[in-house]
Amino acid sequence: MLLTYLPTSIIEIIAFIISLISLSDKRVGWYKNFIWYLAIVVIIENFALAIVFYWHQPNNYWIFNIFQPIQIGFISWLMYKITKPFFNSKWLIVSLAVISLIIFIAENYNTGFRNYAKITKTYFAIFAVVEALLFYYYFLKQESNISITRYPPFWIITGIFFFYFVSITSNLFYDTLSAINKTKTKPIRYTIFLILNIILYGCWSYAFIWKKKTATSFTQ
Amino acid sequence: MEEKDSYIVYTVIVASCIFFIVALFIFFYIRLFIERKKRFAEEKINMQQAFSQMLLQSQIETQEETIAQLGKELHDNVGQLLSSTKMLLGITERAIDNPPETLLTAEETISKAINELRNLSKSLSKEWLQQFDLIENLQAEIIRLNSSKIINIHFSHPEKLVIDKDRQMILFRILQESIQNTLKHADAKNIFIDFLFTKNSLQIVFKDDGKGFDTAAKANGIGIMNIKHRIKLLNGSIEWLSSSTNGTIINIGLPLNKPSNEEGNHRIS
Repeated sequence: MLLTYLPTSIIEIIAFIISLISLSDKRVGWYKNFIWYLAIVVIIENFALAIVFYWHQPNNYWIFNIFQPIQIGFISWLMYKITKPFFNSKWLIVSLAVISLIIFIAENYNTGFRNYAKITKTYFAIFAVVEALLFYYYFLKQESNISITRYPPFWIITGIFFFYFVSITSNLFYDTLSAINKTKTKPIRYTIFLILNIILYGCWSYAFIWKKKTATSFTQ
Repeated sequence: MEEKDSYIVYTVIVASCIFFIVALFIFFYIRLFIERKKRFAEEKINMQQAFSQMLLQSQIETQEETIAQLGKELHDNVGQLLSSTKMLLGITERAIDNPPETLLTAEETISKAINELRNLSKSLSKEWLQQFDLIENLQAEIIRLNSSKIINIHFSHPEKLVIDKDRQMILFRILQESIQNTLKHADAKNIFIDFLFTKNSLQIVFKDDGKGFDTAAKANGIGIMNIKHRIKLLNGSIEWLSSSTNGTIINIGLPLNKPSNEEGNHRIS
């Protein structure tokens, strides 16, 4: 069973190492915060694995629920930082983040903190997709010619867009997929999330490498 | 129940695949849109550059014509009037036994004015431009600046430049502007100007040991834009490399054949 969950953890560790190598320079600016976020992701993921496989506890959802507000906060902040040069996104992003947190509190109040916050995940995924699409719209609308290959924010958003957009169906059918996984050990949802994590962290790692290149190429 | 589970599993897989394809489609659409936009912008820039090159060429031709006309007018008209005045002063001088000192000074001043006017009209004439020599003029400029002890310019050059006189003149203005920029902003002690010939081009390396400048921030400054315009007129290429420790290096490349309608390249690093 551990082998099913381990690849995601390895991908996150690789992304963390790439962020550490690429974003340690102070010239990368606010991108430096990715190191902290990915460090938290790696700790949470491995701690969650340890709860199940080392301490043999049946439920590790509470650790992901602790992480949920951090994820909402970081992704929303990221969206704000990236969309800011293109349009006035502040109030939209803050509103959607606040709505996500309200849903999260309400869901935990109703179902308990030890249950997976699937409704929050689904709504936040929809919000993130809307924000990503708005970014694409304003990105195409702007006058200047930006090469997407060398533009890290584009790849950050693309990773987020793929991850949250495709994950909507898995979150919607979470209960059934979870039951199938328990009874027939068919990790459909984990397989989908493994592919999405590869895309997300692949896009982010590519963005980190280009950020390092563009931030350190000026010799003044 | 099992059938329902399988149905849900297939639904999730198919839906995820559809979502993935949609996401992929959006991604490739954006890529394609940006590529087309870039191509369109490049074509627009090329057309604008070709147009401004033609405009610049005709501006310079008109300017040359006007200056040459002005020089001719000065020589033929004002020069003749001054010569007549000098002649009249000479007649008056000979008619008086003891001509006053002021009359002699006036005649001398008129003579000086005639000489200055001749030199000026000569320098404004097309013939002077046709005789323009970049190396000679740059050397004279360097001697003048070195004697001021503000800066020490080291100039390494071939004996003769095998490029058109009008192109030499434009190149002279580019180097003059670069020297002025170094003097004004770089706090440099030395400037090194090297002319190097390759098979098909002339490479000029202009280097100073000053404090450098932010090439990205100054990329659209008037001085740099002027230089870029002149380089474009020569169909050449130019790049600025600058750092706080190594000063500024300007690399200029000029094709040795006549400028065609192809675009010049500019790169700022």
